[in-house]
Amino acid sequence: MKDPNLKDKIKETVEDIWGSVFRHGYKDTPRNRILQIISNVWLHLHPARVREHGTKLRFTWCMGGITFFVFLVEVVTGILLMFYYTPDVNKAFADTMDLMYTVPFGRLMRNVHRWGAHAMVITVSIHMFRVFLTGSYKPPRRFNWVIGVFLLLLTFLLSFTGYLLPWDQLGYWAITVGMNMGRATPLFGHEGPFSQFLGMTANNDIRFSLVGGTTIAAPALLRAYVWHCIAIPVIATALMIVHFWRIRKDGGISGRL
Amino acid sequence: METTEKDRCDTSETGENIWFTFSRRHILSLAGWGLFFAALGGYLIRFFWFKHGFFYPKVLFEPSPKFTIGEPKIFAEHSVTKLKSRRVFIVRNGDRFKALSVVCTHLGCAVEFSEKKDIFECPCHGSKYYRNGINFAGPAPRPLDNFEIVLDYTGRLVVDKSKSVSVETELIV
Repeated sequence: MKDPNLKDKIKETVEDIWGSVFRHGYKDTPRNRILQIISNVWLHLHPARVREHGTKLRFTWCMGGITFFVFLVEVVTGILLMFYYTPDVNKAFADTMDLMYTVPFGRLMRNVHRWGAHAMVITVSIHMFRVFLTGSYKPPRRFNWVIGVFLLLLTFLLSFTGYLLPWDQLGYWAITVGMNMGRATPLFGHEGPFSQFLGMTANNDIRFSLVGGTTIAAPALLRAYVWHCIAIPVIATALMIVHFWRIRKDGGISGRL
Repeated sequence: METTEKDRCDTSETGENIWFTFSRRHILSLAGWGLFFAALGGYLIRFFWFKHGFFYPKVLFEPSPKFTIGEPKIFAEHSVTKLKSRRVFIVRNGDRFKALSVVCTHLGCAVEFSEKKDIFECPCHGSKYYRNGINFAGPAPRPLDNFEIVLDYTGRLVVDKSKSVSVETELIV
């Protein structure tokens, strides 16, 4: 243990491990500032440089960023709620009440998830409003606007599918009404225009495929659960990646090009 | 590309780098962030804390460990009765009763009673126990658990699986 070089050896090992994780030391140069962004897996979707006006809150309102933050909150609280929730008609409501009254922090998690859902619809709408007002949908950002419209629809669908999950009267009848509107879908809903050309009936139209039956029952609950917890979040995440990446590709965050 | 002094990040008016200098200019900002992360960390620790955190439910939907099994006379004079859903054997020898766990003390399989040999046998690794629950062969390290068995005021037997008693304990009715 009396190795005089021991201290140096330890220092070398620590620096070795550190260097294997962080490939670049932080010497504050313009080049390193760019490397910090482009060599980081979480940040490399973003532009390495942002124009000064891009940081002006009065222009962007940061509503897209806040929407993404709320989405992350929804992911975290949603995963935690899934630990106590069973998508079964005999258990769903009891599990929800359990979360409200017995699980430690269960009520907090459910309320954060619910209010976060409301907030996300609001912030995503304000984001779209701002993009419209500043004309940020114009070329070359046209495609990103289209992706944004799909993300807006996915946000609404997340709210809609989440509504049924507590299996209470409110959600049950909301989904009943919403799905009955699906009957009027042109071509694919059995009460919609032109549906006779495709031979649509109550047990083969678009509503039937979404509900998994002709009434809102156990298959509808399971489908809402899978769409809400897995399918739509995965699709939305994929679109979000493209959405953020296109900001860089289309010339950076809002402002004149 | 060589880095010149001009390229350095001289963001504050004094020409000092904000990342590595704690100036009075930033004391409130640092204090604010420090409080924010301290509060956030406190909440997170409390949220995931053992015994009282989110992952420790306060209400369980499991069968009660204490249950009534009926009057003594429903068990034959000299018998071993398996209550499968309760996972206990009721052993009766004349007027003496025992409640034995069906869980093998080796690795937790369910033991079976053999009427012919008058012993308990474990199907997994061949542990064997006498009729009184004492292990005598195989890898089992100790006797089958004995649970408390009592008569309640209506004259019915009550087993409490949350209370273990010694191997010699018997209820004499």
